[in-house]
Amino acid sequence: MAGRRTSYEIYWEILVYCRTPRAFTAIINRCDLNSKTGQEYLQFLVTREYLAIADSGERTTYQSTPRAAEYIALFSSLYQKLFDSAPEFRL
Amino acid sequence: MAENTLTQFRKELDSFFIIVSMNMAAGALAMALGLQYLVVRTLDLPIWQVSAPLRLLSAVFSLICIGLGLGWVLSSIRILRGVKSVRREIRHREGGPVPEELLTCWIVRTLSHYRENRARIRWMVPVSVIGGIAFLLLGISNLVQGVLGTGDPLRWFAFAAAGINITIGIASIACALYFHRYSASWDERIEAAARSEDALKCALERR
Repeated sequence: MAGRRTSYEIYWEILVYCRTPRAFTAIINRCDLNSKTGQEYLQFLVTREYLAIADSGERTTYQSTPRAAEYIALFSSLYQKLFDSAPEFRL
Repeated sequence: MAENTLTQFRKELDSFFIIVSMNMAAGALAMALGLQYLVVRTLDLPIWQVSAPLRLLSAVFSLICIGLGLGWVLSSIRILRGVKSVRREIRHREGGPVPEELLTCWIVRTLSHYRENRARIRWMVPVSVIGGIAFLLLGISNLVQGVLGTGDPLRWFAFAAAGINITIGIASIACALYFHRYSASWDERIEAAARSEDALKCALERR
C-alpha cells in the first residue's frame, strides 16, 4: 500500500500483515517502506510489545502479539466511523 | 455497521469513478478541439488568406487548448488509477462477505490516495469550470452560426455541434461541482482521522 499514510496507518498495516510470522524484507516490501524507516517502525512496535521477534536459526521473523489485536480493532472501528460523520458523497 | 459502511464506501467510489471518467472525456475533447483548431484555422488556410499575427494568435490559442486538455486528461488518469484498483477489488468481492479488516484496508488506501491527490483534485474544480465555460461558449457560437445561416444546407450541423458542446459544457461544470463535494467530504474524513490519532497514540503507548 503506497501513498501518503500516517504513522498510525503504517503501524496498523504492519500489525495486520504480521499476524503470521514475517521476515523483515517481506514487511518492508509489503508495507512499501525503506529499510531505515521500516526498522524504526518495527523497533517501536517491538519495544511496545506489539510485535515479537522469533529467531529460527538464520531467519528472524516478526509476529503480532495478542496486544496488537486491541490496536487493530480500535483502528478499524475509528476508521469505519469516518463514514458516519462526514457528509456522504453521491451523484 | 460494517455493512452500511461498505455500501456507502462502494457507492461513493462508483460515483467518483463516473465523474473522473466524464472529466477525462471532457479533457480529451478539449485536446481534440485544440488540435482541430490548429489544423483547420492555422495550418490549413492558404498563407495569403490570414495575416501573420492572426495566424500566430490562433496557433497560441490552439496550443493552450491542447496543453490544458492534455493536463486535464493526465490528471484524471492519475486520480483514476488509485480509485480503480480499490473498486476492482470491491467488485471481485461483491455478494460475498467482506472481512472488516479488508474494508479498513480499502478505506486506508482511499484516504492515502486522496492525501496524495488532494491538490490535483482541487485543481480539477477550476479547470473543469473553465473547460465547461469554453464548451458552453463554443456551443453558443454554434447556435448563432446555425440561426444566422438560413438557407445554408449545412446549418443543421451547427445545431448538432451546439447540442454536443453545450451538453459537454454543462457536464464539465457539473463535474467541478462534484469534485468540490468529494473534496469537502474527504477533507472532513481526513480531519476526523487526524482527531482519532490521539486515541490511537494512547492505545499504542499504553503498557
